[in-house]
Amino acid sequence: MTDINKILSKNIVFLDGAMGTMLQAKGLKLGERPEALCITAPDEIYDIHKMYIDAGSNIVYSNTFGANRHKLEGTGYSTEEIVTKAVSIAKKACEGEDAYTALDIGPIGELLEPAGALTFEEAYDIFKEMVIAGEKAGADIVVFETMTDLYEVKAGVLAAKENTNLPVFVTMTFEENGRTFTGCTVESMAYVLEGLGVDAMGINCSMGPEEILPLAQRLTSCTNVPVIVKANAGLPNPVDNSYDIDANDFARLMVPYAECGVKIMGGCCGTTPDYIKAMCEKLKNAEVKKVNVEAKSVLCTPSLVVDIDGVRVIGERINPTGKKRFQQALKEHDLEYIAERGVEQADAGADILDVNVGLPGIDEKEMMISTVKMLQSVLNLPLQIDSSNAEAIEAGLRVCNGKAIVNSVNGEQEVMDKILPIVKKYGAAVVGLTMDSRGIPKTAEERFEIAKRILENALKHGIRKEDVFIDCLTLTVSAQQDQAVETLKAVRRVKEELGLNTVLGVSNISFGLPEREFITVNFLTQAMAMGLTLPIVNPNQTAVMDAIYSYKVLSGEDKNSEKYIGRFAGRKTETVITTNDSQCAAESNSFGDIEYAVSKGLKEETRKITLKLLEEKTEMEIINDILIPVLDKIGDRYERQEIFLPQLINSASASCEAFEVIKKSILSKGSSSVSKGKVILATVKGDIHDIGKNIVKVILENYGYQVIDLGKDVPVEKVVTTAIKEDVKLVGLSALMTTTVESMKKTIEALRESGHDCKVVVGGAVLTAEYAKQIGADYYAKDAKQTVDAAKEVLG
Amino acid sequence: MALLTDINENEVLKYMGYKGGDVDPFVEKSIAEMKEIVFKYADVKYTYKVFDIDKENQCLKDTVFYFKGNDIKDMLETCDKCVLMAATVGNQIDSQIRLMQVKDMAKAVILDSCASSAIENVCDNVQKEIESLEIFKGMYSTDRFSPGYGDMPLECQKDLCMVLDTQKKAGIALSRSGLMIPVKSVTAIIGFSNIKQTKRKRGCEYCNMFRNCEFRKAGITCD
Repeated sequence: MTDINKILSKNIVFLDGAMGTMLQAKGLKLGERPEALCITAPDEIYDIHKMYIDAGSNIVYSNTFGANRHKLEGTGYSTEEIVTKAVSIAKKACEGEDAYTALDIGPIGELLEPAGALTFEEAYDIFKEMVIAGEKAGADIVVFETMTDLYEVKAGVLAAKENTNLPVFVTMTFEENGRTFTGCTVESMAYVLEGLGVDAMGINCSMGPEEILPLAQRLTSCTNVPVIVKANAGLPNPVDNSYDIDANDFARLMVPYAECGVKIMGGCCGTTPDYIKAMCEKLKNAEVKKVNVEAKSVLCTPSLVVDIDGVRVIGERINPTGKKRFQQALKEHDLEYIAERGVEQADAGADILDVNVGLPGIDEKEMMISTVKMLQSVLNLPLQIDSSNAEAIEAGLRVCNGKAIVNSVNGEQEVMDKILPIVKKYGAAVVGLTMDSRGIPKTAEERFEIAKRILENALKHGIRKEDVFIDCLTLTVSAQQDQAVETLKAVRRVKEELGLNTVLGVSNISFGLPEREFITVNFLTQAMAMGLTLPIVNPNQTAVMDAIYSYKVLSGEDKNSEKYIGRFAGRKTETVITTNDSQCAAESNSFGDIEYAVSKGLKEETRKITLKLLEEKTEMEIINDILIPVLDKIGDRYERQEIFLPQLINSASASCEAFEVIKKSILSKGSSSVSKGKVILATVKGDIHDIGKNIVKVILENYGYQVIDLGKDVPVEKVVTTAIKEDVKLVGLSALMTTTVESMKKTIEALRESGHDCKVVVGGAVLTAEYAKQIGADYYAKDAKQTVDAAKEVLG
Repeated sequence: MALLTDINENEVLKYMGYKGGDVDPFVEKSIAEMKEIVFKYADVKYTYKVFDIDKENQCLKDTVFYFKGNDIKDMLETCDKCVLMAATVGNQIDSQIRLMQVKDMAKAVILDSCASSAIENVCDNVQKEIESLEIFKGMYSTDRFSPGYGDMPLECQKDLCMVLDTQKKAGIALSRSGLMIPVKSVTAIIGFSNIKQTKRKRGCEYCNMFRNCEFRKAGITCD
């Protein structure tokens, strides 16, 4: 096993310089895979390593940057072959020298979900293959470099830590704006990677030492982990492919890095052994300054850091407790409904979203994974993984892109022993409930004691104090009136004596009382005054958010009351509009009005008219006699090109509001569904452009069909098994590109082979009626309207 | 620095299947709103490199990029130099389109079209920057030609991206099926010659008659 402390005991650790630049100088063509040279020209690779070691490098990177199975495809070489050979060449060069071999790993070359089609789990697997081969071949360290996606890095770091004993270094590539191409900030990288327990982290490539310096200063001031910088030889020239800084200037420009606390230094594109030699000479006696890092409570996504240095709102609405419509969404795996609840809260001002998807009868672990992935594909907020199931918690943390909170542990030793190691492993923060096997203590004193115990246990597991949040528990004041005061007292003591942030599920206080909002807001205000920083609330309640905005003025956090003023500017006008709207809706309840509202895409009005209509008609009457004829009319106008796509969708979205009202009305009566039949929609394997499919979904749903949306890049088997399991009679497939129509054909073939009785409708930019017939589809739909026609024919 | 300078509203309408006639006020208003989102979140990145053309091997000199299909060979016939370029309006735009699909599907379609128009504008600006390079003084440029155009196979995209190292230089990667990510990205080849080049028409959306053209309504052009 590598003794990382020995390596890092050096004053400054010197890395090597560019490999690609050296190989291009030796005649490597642009676009050729340099890794193959380990097999075809091993001596040249050895010479390059040797030159760097002679120049002063303590660590050399093996020639394996792109040796993953995706990039090697078509080269005739396997990952194991290249990695084994490349590491052995580097090791040979290190023999008898004070130098170590790092297994070099660059980006996979295909982007991960949600932007790309590669799943987190596939990325993990690709890295796993490399690191296992690397350790077996004798590498001393695993280095991930030139990374731009923090999610990909997380997959890599987990693969390295779970499958090898090697130390892990990570460097990412930032642009001048301090972000990577995928938007990751220096700070988010620091918080997430320190949480995952990497041994060193830093910045490489893209810019020269001058441009990287301010970013390195930001990095050393927010992490205690040793920092790496591997800069380019300045900036590239697109005409002649050269870089603009020479070896001496490079060495001179690296000097300030020691002063800002960077311990590990090397060169990237354009640098050669001369650069490394000059740098080693210039810096051999330099002192690496120790930088003070402020201990802070933070959460983050790759592109957003949330400092818990004041009140931060945790949105509570992604939770099935007491919500029939949400429970139905979970049962139907309706991720879009859940995403909408997330978007709503984000728009209302939530800083963090609580995610609870536990419901008897559903696979909570799988649901947690899908929900976390769905939410982070559309939103940029840190998450709070809320479950009592350790497996679901771990699964949620694993796929979460950023630093999350775990909700929760309590004072029971068994619970802490089970959950805290998971919190530590993924670098999360944790909520500790002040209760244990004996239940919720009656006094503030006892709750405080449990809080102390939870903190001690967390520290023992290596979790930082700043990552422990205590929930002193809100009890319903109508049932246990003396407890509200105890909760508030406990909050104050935890804040003042333990110095921890506190969490409270605020809404519970008012349960069972009329006009709940008054009690909720009053309790919230008192709790914030006692030091509550993380209220779990419904941010869609205006009064709740008003109270928080007001509190931030009084606490001094909202400087010059700017946000408060911004919130209330224009508030009065909004009220006027609402009044007009409801008046207008109250007067109108006829068929004609709903047609107008739907055709103009007036969502709020459509909703109100539907509510009114429900007083006189049954749900099915409204759907069949009113909504569908209206939609048909609009569809006809679309076909006649009187309106075009955005208007068609807008009308569909408005009638969607009517369907929501109808769904809720039916659920409240205890029946299950209004569906006119199920339709599967999928964008086929390999294709990820799914906007067309999503348009079709909106339109189909508005004709009352239940859409099972399998998403994009859907494997053939998933379509077949879902069709059989859910007994679906119509399957809709979309493909955008000529290259993916082949997957469409395979999916249809597999459906036919399974013997399941169903029709297939296909659509997409490159398809034609003739082509559709050729690949065995039953229907070709050139647009969403024609898909509805197919559905009517098949399902009625 | 080439940037996003304009989003052509006629082009946006064209992408959405507009064939003429009145444009609904909701659509007019939403286009303005979605344009603003594109301007706010566009994070323009681009990269290009200048190459000599290896006539004998029909490739870019010292690279693995070979000319496939006749169209590209025709276009570059009189050219000595050639530029590969790649540009994107970035990852944030993809995220915004995903988000808008949850919030409001109609606006999502408009946003998607605005972003498509935006990347065309960026490419125009990058092309201008390339044309003004000192080495091309006195030379004439061809059109921008992209993999998938004419008879040039889409598969060439992979070689182009490798030669330009687009993932490292502009954050553009390819999916397994050859789709560029971020989705709103373009790669292209521009040739440079000492002889004046014939240019294609710019398209109806740049014509003053766009919104009311009777030819367009009938599905034909005046060309």
